[in-house]
Amino acid sequence: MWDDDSNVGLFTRANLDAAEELIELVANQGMEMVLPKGIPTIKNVQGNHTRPDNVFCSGEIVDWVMQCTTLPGETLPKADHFPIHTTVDFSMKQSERSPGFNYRAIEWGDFLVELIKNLDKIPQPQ
Amino acid sequence: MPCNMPEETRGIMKVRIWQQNVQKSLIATHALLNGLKDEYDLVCIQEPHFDFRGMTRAMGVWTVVYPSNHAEEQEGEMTRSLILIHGRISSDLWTQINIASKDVTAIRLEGPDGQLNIYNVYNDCTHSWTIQTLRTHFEQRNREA
Repeated sequence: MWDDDSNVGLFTRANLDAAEELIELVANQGMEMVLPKGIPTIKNVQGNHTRPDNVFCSGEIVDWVMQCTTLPGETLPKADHFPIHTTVDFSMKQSERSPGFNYRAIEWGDFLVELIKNLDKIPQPQ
Repeated sequence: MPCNMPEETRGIMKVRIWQQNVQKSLIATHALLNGLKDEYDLVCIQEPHFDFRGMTRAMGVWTVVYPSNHAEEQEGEMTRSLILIHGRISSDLWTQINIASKDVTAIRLEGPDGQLNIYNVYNDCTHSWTIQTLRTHFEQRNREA
């Protein structure tokens, strides 16, 4: 269906019959595939590229999907599935909570000056 | 979609989703979490890693949504779906949608222009139970609509 047509070995009668229930659900719910056909989502141990992962969207809001694609270059260690990136045009109010500290962005020079200043306020051990 | 949000309100204008099967690997989970660079609002994980307490790993900025049935003891059944929600999405703007499956996590986002339901589904290739559960869920939802 959404796998590349060249993967003929996957389109057996048994596989097509097994997929029938999923296809029926998707059709009855008016859902559409938003990850373009033919884009693989896994490189299996034999080195073949196939498409076990999919992204479905209700037909009424398919226009909200701005982008849906895989990022094979960012495949994680110990994972053979490719990441799938989807962007949906849907606006929400952003949480007011204050962001946490980003310790990696410390200005070490300023930090050390402040640290020494504050350490001086602590009395010596007695 | 049109945006009815007042200009002065700080807002999320688009929802960015990272979908990933981590094959139960802690290494893959750590690599995923550390590589997101604050550029994503939702992470849909399939086959997540769990520790001995049945919990996954995520930094404090993420709220982990487990499937409704995650805590139930079911022999031979493991949770294979999770959604992480970034803290920039206010907790009063999303709710969990209950589905009786360890392979489906679902949430509803509320925006000024409507709702967006996200279903993260792990579909086991050896049976169709998850699809049947989803069919029942959608039929019930359509009846109530």
